[in-house]
Amino acid sequence: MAGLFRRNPEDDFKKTYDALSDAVFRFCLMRTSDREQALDLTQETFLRFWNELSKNKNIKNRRAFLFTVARNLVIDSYRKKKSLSLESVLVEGSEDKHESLAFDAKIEINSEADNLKRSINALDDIYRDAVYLRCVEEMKPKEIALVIGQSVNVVSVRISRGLSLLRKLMHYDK
Amino acid sequence: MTNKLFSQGVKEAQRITLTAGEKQSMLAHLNAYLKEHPAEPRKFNLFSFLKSLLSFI
Repeated sequence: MAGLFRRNPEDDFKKTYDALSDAVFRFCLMRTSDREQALDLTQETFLRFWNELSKNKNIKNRRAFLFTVARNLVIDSYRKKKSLSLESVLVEGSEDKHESLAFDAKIEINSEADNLKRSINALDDIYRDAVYLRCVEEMKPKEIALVIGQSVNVVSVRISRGLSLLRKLMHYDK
Repeated sequence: MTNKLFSQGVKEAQRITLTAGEKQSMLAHLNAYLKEHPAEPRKFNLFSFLKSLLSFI
């Protein structure tokens, strides 16, 4: 039905923006701990979404598409930060600058959410996104599999192991 | 108790949103981008039309 009578792409874009911009922003903020950077990454995610939509490409699962783009942008920003911090240490011999670029910068969110964010970010790369998307965004393993490019079985195992590691990190296993 | 704290953390995290100002400002920027990069005209594709028709039936 949707394929037969597609909305115009601008309306489609705005509807998706209204529905998912907060979730994409939250993901970027939880991962970067920097509101300005999270805003930039969210905006860039939607620009890329429009680039696909405007070419009349059929995006079956918008949420999975947006999280995939946002995740890749976050990973790229980490790489840039790492190379930038290495350069600043080499050039100025200062470790303070390196510390100032640490990813666990404080953000203004409530204590329990902050504790959760820190613990999720402390998880190994392979568990982090699967656990976040399952717990906070309440996505199903099938949808998470699309975002992280792994099979549903792999995702289910990562969620299960990641959650038990998270409980240990948050001292909830005692 | 511990599960309660975890759920509380999740609920608080889920409440993190863009402010109304941030949302509007970003939308304004995106709208400007949409105008600069309009959508390509949709081409009629018989195969995808038939596929959609079949899935509809």
